[in-house]
Amino acid sequence: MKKSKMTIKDILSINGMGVMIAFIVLCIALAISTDSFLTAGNIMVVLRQSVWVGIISIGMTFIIATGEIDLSIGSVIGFTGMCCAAMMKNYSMNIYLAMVLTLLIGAVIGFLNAVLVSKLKIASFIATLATMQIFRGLIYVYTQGVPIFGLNYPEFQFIAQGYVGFLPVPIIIVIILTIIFWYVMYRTKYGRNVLTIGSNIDAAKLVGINVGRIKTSVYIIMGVLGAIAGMLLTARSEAAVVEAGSGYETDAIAAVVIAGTSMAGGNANLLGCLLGAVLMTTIRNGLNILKVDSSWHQVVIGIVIVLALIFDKFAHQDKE
Amino acid sequence: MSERIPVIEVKGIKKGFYGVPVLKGIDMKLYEGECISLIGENGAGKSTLIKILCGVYTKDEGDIFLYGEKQNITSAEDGKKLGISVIYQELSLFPDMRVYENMFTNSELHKTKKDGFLKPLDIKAMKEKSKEILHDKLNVDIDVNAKVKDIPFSQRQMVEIGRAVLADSKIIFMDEPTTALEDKEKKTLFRIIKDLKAQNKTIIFISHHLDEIFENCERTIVLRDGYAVLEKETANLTQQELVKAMIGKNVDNYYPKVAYQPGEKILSVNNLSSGKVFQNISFDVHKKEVVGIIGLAGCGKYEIVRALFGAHAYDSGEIIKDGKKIKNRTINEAINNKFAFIPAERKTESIFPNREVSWNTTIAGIDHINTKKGLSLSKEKEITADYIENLKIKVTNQKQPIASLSGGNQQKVILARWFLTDPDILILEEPTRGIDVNAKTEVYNLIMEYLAQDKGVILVSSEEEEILGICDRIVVIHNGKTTGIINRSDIDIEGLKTITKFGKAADQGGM
Repeated sequence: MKKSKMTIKDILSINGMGVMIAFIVLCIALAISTDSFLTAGNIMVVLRQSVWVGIISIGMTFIIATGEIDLSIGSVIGFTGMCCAAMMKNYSMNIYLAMVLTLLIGAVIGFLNAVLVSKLKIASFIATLATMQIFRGLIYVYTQGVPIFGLNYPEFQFIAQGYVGFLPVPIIIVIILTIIFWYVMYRTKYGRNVLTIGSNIDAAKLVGINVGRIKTSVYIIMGVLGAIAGMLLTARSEAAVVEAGSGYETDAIAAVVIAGTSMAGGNANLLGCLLGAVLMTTIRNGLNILKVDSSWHQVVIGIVIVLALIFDKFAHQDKE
Repeated sequence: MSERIPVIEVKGIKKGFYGVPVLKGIDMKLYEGECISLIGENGAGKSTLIKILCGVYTKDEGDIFLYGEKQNITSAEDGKKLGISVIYQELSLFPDMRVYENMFTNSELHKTKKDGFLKPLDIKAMKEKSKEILHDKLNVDIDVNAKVKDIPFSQRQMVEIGRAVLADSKIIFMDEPTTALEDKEKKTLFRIIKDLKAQNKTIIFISHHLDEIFENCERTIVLRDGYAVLEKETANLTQQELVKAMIGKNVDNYYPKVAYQPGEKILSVNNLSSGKVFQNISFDVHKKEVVGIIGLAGCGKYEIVRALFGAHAYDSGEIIKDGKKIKNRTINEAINNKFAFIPAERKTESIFPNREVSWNTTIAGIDHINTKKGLSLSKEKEITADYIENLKIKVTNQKQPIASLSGGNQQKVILARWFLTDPDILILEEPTRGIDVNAKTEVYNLIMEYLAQDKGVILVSSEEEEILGICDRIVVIHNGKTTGIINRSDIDIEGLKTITKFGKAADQGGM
């Protein structure tokens, strides 16, 4: 048989093509309409601001791939960021020890979510909605609403503000995490198991996959990534504020979904979700440059998400 | 006969999808009060034809007449209005709603004359009417207040038929209605079909089971490749003729049984028990032997084999493989002990629907493609290509999602999945459920070929023909207990049916 060439339609129907096109169109539009968008400085700003949502959207891709969800991650960012700040400031702990402990706290929180979801069989939407409240609440309880200020520790500031060569450290961190988790998702038995569970959980059990253990591990990964994002956020602002990370969970879910990953589980577009995260920051950045009132930012982001999804829907229609 | 006006007549119906013709000009006439069987292999166009008649698809060409009047059916709503109902294989009931609510879905009765979204519902009247139809017209005992998820599958089907009766449908399609039914339940269904015929309804009965067709249908229409290739009074039809019309060639035997000389004992199951589900189950499996397990629904036959595979708990008893005692408490343990298990529900328990054929092939034996550098996609491609060729799996591309394959080809992928793990004991539940005659024979052939490599097979089925056609020895389970282990040469189909149903042979006193 003759090998058929890829048509434009085939290209358009690649998962996440919607977000790609939205991104390119947006960049061209902003580059034409503003002088400051397409400058090295501004691009770096956009990328830096994408870091936090980008990191947790990696974890969210894993969670959604198994068919679950994690709404608590925004609170986890705030909580772990606060823990890290408190250990350094209030307990004068060694910076590196504090950072390692923070990662550990993230892992424990992830494990907690996993216990609710895979041991106690509570629907993940509800379980993580509850833990979202709990951890946000604990931030208020500990800080009494007063931010932890003045984290002037050079080693700590370095992870968010430092450079290696011309590359900012947080972007290097994202790149490393992306490479690691891309490999884990697409080139390991573990990644296969994650997606297999999402595709058909009953069949997954019958091919010998330990569903409980895989789900637990995915939530632990998510918790650790949340802690990394939490520390980067705290180190960036040199303070732990009570609302830190609030709303990031929905941004991450949106980033995953506009990349063409189905909420039903069983597939994943890891690179696409990072692009999704950058897209959302780009919109905010563009609106800022265009001096659009910040109240409108949410509206515009919502509309762009809807447009990207409608595009994907149309591009995939013929494949049914 | 020719005097009668047909209830429905179709002339020259054509339909294609994306330029591929599926129906190439179908003519047929259906009369009041008759049951017609519509048969054909998967892909012959049966479901497309039904969907056109009930308005889900729109025909490309041709005419549809109801009582001699030309109709234009363009939506499911139209079909419903004209009195055409379909009882699908996968029932379209709402499990969390009650029986009477399901009967009246979207045609609720209201206390006021006018109906409307906000008018109060007349629950009492709906319950009464549901009772009238289910109890009096269909003569089945179903609690109309029960939630659908709490009643057995056979009753759900009755509810769906009741819904068609309630809507006063003239024409009722039944798409493989007996697939999940026990003999007794089938009898009830057949009685209802008879009753409906007496009420001048027209039934179109779709089934893979030829004996059911002979029992119920006056006429048979065979579809093949988009044409109606045979139309005949069922009474004048032979089974061979039917099968030949379906697949377009002669088939002498669809059970390609090879009776090998059984080798040494490979597995012993001794007194395996699991609470009330099954007790003291004992049997052996030898190399090159197929052991069949048969019994009525709920007898515990599936749970027994699932216990062997670590997918169902057992309290006592022992499993001995190759002379060594093993436990198989978890599925992983069973796989490591070289067991493989192919469940009955292909859709919900076997396939990973959105994933590729290659993915579905390698998932159980994934260590075969695992290297130090991670999963080797090229190895995966190689392995999958081999299986596609050797098992003659029809695919356009090994990256296509498995859900896009036909049932028979899906099952072959599942066989490939477990062949890759090279199991010593292959356990199969209803391996040919819902796949067509040709594919059935191919699946049996693959099992036979596998057996030749000194393997053992345990086959659970609720079809006596299949058990007798393919197994060397047969374990009959009744109410969780073994009632007999029979050599295939020592029993005929009638004998096997009797012992399956009653738990003992007929000459020992029947019921």
